[in-house]
Amino acid sequence: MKNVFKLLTLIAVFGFLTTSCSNDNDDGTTPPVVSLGDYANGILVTAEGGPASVSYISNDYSTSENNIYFNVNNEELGVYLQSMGFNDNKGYIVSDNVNTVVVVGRYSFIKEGSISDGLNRPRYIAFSNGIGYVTNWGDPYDSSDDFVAVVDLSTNMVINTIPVGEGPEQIIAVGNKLYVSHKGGYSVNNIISVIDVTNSTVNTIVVNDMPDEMIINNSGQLVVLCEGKPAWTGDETLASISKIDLSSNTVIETLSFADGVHPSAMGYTNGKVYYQSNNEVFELSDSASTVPSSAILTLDATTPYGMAVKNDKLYVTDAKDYASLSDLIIYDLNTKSIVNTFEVGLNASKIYFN
Amino acid sequence: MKQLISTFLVFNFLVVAWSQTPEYSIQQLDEIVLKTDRYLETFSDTQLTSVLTDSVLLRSASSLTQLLNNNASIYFKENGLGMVSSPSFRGTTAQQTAVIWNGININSQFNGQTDFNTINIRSFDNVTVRSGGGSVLYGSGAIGGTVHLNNDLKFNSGFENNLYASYGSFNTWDVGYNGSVSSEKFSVDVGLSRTSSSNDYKYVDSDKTNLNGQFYNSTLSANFGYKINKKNVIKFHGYLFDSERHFSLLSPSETPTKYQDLNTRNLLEWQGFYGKFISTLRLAHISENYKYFHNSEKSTFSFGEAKSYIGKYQLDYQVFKKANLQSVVDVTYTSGESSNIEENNRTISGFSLLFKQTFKKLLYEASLRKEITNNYESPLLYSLGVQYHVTSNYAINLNGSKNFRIPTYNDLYWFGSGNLELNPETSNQIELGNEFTFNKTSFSVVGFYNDIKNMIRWLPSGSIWKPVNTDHVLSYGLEAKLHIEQQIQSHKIALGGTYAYTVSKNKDTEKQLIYVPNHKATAMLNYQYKRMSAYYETVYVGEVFTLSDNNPNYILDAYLLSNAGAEYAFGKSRNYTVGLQFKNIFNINYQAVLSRYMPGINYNFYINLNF
Repeated sequence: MKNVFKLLTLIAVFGFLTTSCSNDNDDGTTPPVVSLGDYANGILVTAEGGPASVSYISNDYSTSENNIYFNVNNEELGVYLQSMGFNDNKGYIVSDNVNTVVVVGRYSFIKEGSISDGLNRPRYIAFSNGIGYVTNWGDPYDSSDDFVAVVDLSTNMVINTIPVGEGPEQIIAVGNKLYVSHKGGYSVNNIISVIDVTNSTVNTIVVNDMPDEMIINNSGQLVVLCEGKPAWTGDETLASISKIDLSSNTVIETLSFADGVHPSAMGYTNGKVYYQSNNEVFELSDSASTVPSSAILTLDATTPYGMAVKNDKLYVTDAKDYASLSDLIIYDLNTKSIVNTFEVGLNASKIYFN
Repeated sequence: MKQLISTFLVFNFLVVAWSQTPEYSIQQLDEIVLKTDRYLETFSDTQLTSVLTDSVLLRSASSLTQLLNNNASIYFKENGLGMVSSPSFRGTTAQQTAVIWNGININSQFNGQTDFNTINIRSFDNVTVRSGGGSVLYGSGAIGGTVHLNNDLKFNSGFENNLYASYGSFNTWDVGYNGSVSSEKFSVDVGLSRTSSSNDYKYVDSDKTNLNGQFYNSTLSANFGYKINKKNVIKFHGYLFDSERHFSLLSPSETPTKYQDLNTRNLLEWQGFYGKFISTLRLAHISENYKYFHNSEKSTFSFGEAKSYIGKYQLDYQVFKKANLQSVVDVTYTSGESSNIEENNRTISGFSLLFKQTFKKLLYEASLRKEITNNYESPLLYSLGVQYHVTSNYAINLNGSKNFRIPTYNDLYWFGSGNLELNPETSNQIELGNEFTFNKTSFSVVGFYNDIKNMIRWLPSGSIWKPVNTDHVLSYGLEAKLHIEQQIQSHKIALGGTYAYTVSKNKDTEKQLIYVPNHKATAMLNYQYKRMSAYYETVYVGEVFTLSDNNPNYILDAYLLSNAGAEYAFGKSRNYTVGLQFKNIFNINYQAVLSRYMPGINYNFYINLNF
């Protein structure tokens, strides 16, 4: 991811990528009659771009629509669309280069506002007690200006910032605690920040290098995928799946990967962790004490980019050559076969269930 | 005998020794022009060249992008006005067009290309576009074609000054001074130019403005020539370019960035004429430095700097009256480092052999080049060309060549990603040209076919991206050029135009390359009545794909732009000119790169004084 981002930045410098798209689909002005909105009961796929976009696919696969934000609002999303967060009936679209979080109706995708002041390279958003928390890299070349922005969701204003270590990435809220994985941004980090939202104090838990994806398993543990430093850094380190006990905030188990293995995406369903490494998907039960040696399926994708699991389905985006529209490929985890494929946005990276 | 030698010298100075009649002679005190990039005249007969000079340069904005976009068939992917601009010549990539400064290849060591908005044309006497392969002569990147920035040295022309100033929309200043002094023995020419712009144009049909697009650039050039004696001449060309560009924002909330360039070029040449031999020794030093500020309000930046030392020795031998053999040996030493590259250096040695023979109606030229380096495996480069004058009005040219683009510093040494196993991209190409010249009309049409292998592309490899030799691209099409002049009493009319049809396909996917239009055309109409002239020029750029799967929903629309202007010449010998120019007169809303909106109608006023 880091290198992908670096390269994307390089490419941007030389002017090869930009936002925008042309689309003449219907404008979505017909108000929904009964349902929550046009984009309920389905899958949302966000694409980094540029042009950045959001795609919708209904749960029964009967309808799909690309560029839904543009279609509804006749406005582009800024590059690069990093992630989305959901709170009640609002959706929050986080775009890092434009230092903005756009607020939309979760099911209508009608723009309701934006958080644009006080963010600097925003990455992910989480919610606790009706307050939004956005991780920010700050200047990616400055290791000391990273922070979590505290957002008043009624005014969409940043009301406080909590300084944290270098390269905060994903953030999840559990009760009054926020857990932030520090992959390290353009650099490398190896901590999980634990923020107490009642007093904004920050504690850290050391894990393996480059922690990124996090889930809470059925035992209430925080499971962190640490990618490990890749070989090109000249200081390759082991990747791991680390389990953290949330009452003591300590690492209670570390499942290390073999040398040279650096998995990059993780999901959790039916009491099992699924992760993706080198075009293969692996399954890890909560009780396993070592990482599995063989994959459950080999992906039929050129460049697997984003991954999610829900119930018995595996969802993977294929970014292809990073210069074509991506595919969303849906697998059945029981039969290990492809159920459906949809063309989504450019560099589609995140999959959400709405 | 003395007379004979001096005639011979003049003869060679004019660098027309190859094809002109030997009876040709010139009075000693006439103005004499020495050209440094002699290959343009000696080994470019079977390929199409187009020289842009005088009024074309005068009427153009100072950036090389705008000059060529309006006057050549090269397509530009310009990231907003004045921003990073990369060419596509005959459907090739930006690294496959070489920019040649007084005979020296100046493409960046880091990314292998030249940003055409980092060249200010005011510092040059002419800009020449040479279509098709030229790696034997000009080295890496001469695949689609080459663009030549030339400084001539004039002797016997006394003291001459030129002052140019233009002011226009978006607070754009473009000023230049050029002074030269020369006698029979020496020639000194100094040029200064500066362009600056707030570049804060309003987007057409929008309430948005181009933000953070301001830029400036300054150029200093010095050219010097000294004829030591009748057999020896020394030349020096020096060049300094300094610029700062803020990169325009796509969204007002983006963090503003800026980019600084500092480039220097120095070339010393010693030429000796000894009977049937001409000996040329060239020593050059070129440097490139960039700084990229990812936050223009902060002092932190990433950088790159590279220096090259070039030594080249060339010996020409006149085998027969109209046959010439040339052997060249050269060494290029480059040292470079950047924020992402540890200091690395490389040495490339090259050997070339060129031969040309001219008959009454036929000429042919054949050349070979082999480079030796431990960096990569270098192919044998060659070029073969034949020209046949079917009639006095019609000539056919046939040219075939093998050319290459070598791996860049980024490709080889990028920290963690660089691939030392890379080989050069290679191109085999053939072209057939037809040239028609009548009294005051010339027309040419060239069909070309270019097979480019081992294209270097950065691909994900595990957790990183690595450059690999992978793509195979076929580019083919045609280029046409027309020029007509008519004069009826005091009314002079000139009409010119270019058209290019280009197909450039990835052979595996059968898809057109992104940002390569199938069609591009330019046209110019000039009308002059005594001291007044008016002109109209248009550029048509066909639609381009922005995604490699050629998705029809992600196409940039074609656009047709029109500029118009008028000039008046004052002074006894019409040596003072004032002009007014309107660009994009129909206020077309267009983008050269997706979401990078270009300005609507805009104007500028200029004066040009020769004294």
